[in-house]
Amino acid sequence: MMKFLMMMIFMIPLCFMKNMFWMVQMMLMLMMFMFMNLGVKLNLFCNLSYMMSCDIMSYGLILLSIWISILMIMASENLYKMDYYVNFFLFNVIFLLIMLYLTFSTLNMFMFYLFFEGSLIPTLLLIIGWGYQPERIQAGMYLLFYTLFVSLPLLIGIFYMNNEMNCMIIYFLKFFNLNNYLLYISMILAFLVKMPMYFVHLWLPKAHVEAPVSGSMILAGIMLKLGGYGLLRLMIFLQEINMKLNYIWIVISLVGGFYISLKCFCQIDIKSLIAYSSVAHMSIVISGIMIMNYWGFIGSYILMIGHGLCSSGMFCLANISYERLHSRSLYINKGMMNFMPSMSLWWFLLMSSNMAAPPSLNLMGEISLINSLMSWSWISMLMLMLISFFSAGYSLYLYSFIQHGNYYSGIYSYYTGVSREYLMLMLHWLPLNILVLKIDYSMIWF
Amino acid sequence: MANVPLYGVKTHAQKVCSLYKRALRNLEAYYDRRNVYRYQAVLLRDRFDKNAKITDMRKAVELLKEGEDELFKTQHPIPKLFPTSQGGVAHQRVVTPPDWVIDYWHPLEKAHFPEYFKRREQRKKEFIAMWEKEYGTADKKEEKH
Amino acid sequence: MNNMKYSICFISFFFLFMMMMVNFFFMIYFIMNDMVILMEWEIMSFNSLSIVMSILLDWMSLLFMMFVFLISSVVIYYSKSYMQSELNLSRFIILVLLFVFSMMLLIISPNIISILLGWDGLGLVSYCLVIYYQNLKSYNAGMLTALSNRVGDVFILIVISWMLNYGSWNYIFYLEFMNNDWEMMMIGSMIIMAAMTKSAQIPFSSWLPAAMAAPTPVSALVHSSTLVTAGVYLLIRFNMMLLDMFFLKLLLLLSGLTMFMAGISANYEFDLKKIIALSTLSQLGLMMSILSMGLPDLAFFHLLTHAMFKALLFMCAGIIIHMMNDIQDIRFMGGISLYIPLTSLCMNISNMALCGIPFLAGFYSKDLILELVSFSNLNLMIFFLYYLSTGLTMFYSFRLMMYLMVNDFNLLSIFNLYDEDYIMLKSMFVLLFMSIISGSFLSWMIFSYPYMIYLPFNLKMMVIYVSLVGGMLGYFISNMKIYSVNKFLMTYNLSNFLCLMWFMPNLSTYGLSYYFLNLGQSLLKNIDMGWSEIYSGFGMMQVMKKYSVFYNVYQMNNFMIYLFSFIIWMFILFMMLMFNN
Repeated sequence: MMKFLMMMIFMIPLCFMKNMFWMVQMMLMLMMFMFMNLGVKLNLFCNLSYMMSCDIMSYGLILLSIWISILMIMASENLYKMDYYVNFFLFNVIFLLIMLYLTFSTLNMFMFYLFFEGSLIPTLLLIIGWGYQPERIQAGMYLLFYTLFVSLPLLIGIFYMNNEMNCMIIYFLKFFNLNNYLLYISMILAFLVKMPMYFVHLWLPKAHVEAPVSGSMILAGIMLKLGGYGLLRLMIFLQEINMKLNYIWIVISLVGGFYISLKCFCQIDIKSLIAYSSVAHMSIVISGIMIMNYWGFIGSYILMIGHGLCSSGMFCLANISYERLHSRSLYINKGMMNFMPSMSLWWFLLMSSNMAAPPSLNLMGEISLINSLMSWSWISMLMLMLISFFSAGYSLYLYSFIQHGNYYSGIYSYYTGVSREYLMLMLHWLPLNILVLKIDYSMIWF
Repeated sequence: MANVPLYGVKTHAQKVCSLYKRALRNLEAYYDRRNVYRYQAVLLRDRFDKNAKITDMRKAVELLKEGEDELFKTQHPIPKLFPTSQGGVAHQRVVTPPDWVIDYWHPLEKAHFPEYFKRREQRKKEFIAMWEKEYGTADKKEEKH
Repeated sequence: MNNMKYSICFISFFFLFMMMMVNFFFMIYFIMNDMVILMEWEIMSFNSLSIVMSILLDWMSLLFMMFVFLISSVVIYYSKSYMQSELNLSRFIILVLLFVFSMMLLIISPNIISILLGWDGLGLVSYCLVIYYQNLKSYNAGMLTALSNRVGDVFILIVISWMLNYGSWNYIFYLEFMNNDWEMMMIGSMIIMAAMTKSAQIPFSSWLPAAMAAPTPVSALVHSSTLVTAGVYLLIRFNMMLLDMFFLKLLLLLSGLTMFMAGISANYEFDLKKIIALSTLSQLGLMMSILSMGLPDLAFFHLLTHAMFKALLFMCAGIIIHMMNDIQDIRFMGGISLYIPLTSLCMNISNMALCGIPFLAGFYSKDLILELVSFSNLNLMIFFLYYLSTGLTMFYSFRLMMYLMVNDFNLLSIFNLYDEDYIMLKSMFVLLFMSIISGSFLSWMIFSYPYMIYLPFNLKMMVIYVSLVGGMLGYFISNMKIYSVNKFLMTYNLSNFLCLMWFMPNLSTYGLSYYFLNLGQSLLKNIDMGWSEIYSGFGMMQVMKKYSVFYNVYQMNNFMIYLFSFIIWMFILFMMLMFNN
């Protein structure tokens, strides 16, 4: 595990050299390849070194974060062309990746907390540094303070546990059972805000709208999954109190998922629509984790990975339109099919994956989550049906509003898709739909 | 906005004419045989003609309102429309991308149609020459901003 | 593209036709040896549950596949000419091929998870096909179609979780075994709901006429013969379980009403394609109702024959629309049999087959169905629904014929009617042949023994009676005398109600979306921009700002006051320390 960390650290000087934009990306790809061959075949922690290790759960998420970082660099070619602080951008991406890597691979709970919060800083810098409008300052503040506000209780909870058990190794958590109401709240709330749960999701649409494409991609792709990862890890020693109190979060998430889906129909900003749709998806993930059964855990894990690829791809698409029309409004991005018929295919493919059409990972995840929630209470069927139905509704609304019909008459210049963009979208879509063939790997991690 | 009638601006006569025309179109939807339609159209015309001489504006406006009401109440649910008119089946069915999109094609794509693009470049040059002949050459300073 | 041999249409036609032949021979082989092949590919397995991709090949699936291949091949051949001037012909053909592919996946999989691949695929691809044209009409129609079908997808998703009780998703194994389970009742009712959305039964039937915004070849393939029968096919597969369910009786009523409603609405409709779509709806109701009476093989029989003549009918309509410059309104048409006799011939034969004129395709299936209906133990209402709908079929078919072929020439002053488009005609002749013979050939092949029917003479002749009455009414109603008052205007409100499909399109679009959109808007305003904001981000900022302003006021005073308060505080602290001891 250390070798990958070293590799990333020594890539930092590379960022500051001239014309190394694609080189950094290539190195990340190399690292991706090496990491894929790591050979995590067990459901236990393996490759232990220096308090770092990975099991299947962190393996998948680390893979996802490296993959999204590669695609982030690929998507922000505009920065390279404009020479808009490219070196710092690359440094930021690498720094973020290091943070994420450490978050997912560390065994120590305090270290986990440290890097969990540490990954906020490069994200904030991405939004404030490379965002487009002045409102990005406010968006950054929202992002920072929403997540920081509830993370201090988490820190205290972790120290409390250290005091109680003299142990902060994540693996050993499963041998403890702490039935403490305050500990429960303080441990869980940070992740719920990060996911984000309904009611505390306000930072997400704001941050997405103001972030540059790379910021949106990493936010939707990985940052939301940090919360899910934390919950999956820390659920285990709170089992008893989980049984008593988890239904609160399940209910909030199920009803909230339905409400958020309805809110998606009122959006006229492409990026904010995608952001709201990811809140809706994350709400099912939360309820799947909170349900505390096997189907729910694997379902939320699969849906997190699927959603990471899918929503990141959709943000790429939104950016592709933005680079051409300089607007995110649905009223201006119209009739794109007449300009970019091939891009329309990718819009449709990613949109259909977003509404959990087969054979995407999203469908697999959604099926397992529905299974888990239905085995908890079959009344939850109603909300699940509504969420699933409206997810199709807003996905199709977004697709057909942008692609179908007459074009906005104020367009006077345009250029068609370039192969970099097609490659980028393919790299989003292909794993999303091919991984389902070997889905049993993600089902044995517990 | 061209299709929304500017209601308040119209004169009374215009309103009546518009009502008459819409009523005729509505009749057309009901009576699809030409001869039957003509008979009904004559009856309709007669109804309009009877009130043509009314000079009392209050009464005329009331009659117009009644006519509009009657038209609304007997509106055919499936109006007979020409396919390419507003609301017709083939209205805006095919969107043709603007001509300048072709300029943004990739050179490799353009290479599929060498003759067309050769002529296109030629035409562009001719157009610029024509424009300059008419309006004079563009100021180099203004290009920069 | 100009070269016929290598165009995408011809290549696709060729392969689809070959596949049809292959399927045909396999079907004969399977039906003769009474063979079934079940293949499974395990994708993942844990906790003794396995998700598998299963393929079931028996004569039923092979026969259905053969018919789908046949229709899709001729439809693609037909679109070579119909979509000639289209800019995106390749996109169109690829979408149709994708549609055929997902249809195949639906037909062959007896597993409720792997059927999703075909089921969702059908919904998505048919959405793309409906919005193929760029106008607002097709946008709305596509949304209605996709969302109505999505209801069915959601039901199937929920069925998956109900099936979890049995430990496997291969439903065919549990249909008989778990018949009276409560879970199986839930599964059954949801499957029926899903099938009702795909087959456009009553609460969901508004999408089928709306989907006529698609290009006509799509209507011929998708909205008449394949996609809409997917629901019927699913219920045929599930019929074992459904037999003694209460929900099935509801389905019988709803499908009977669908049949009746569509028959009446078709008489009021003026859009050529919508009339045919409504007649499809009425035939779907027939299939569903006979299925819910427990006769799935008859439903399957009618499904196949109906696919043939309905695809042909749509293709004829396509030719007429093509030649009339996109005019679909039958009030513009009339007397066209003098100009395009060959197309009119095809149209008439398919119409006759639809009405069940003896020895054409529809006769064999429809007559059998109706005789079995009169044979069985039914209440009067269902009986009347059946026979009235049969009469109505004749009614609107005659009306259509009158409007198109008999009446005065009514077209615009400039027109171009010609009957020499041999690409379209050739593809139609294949289906013409099939819509003549397929009834007899299927009835000889798929029934292992003939049904015994024993009826009194008048009941036996009932079909003929209602057909004759329907045809005569169709003739008289569409014959209009010069002094006659329009019958529509006489009963305006009732006519409006019947013409607009019992207001179902309005109810399922405005009626539903209004409340949900309003709710979404008010939630966005009240929660996202209101309470949530006040009680978290914005509100907290306001509170902190307020207090810091307050402390600022305190600090901005004279320095002496500041120092003095410091001393007071120190004094209090000191006192506290002192008195604490």
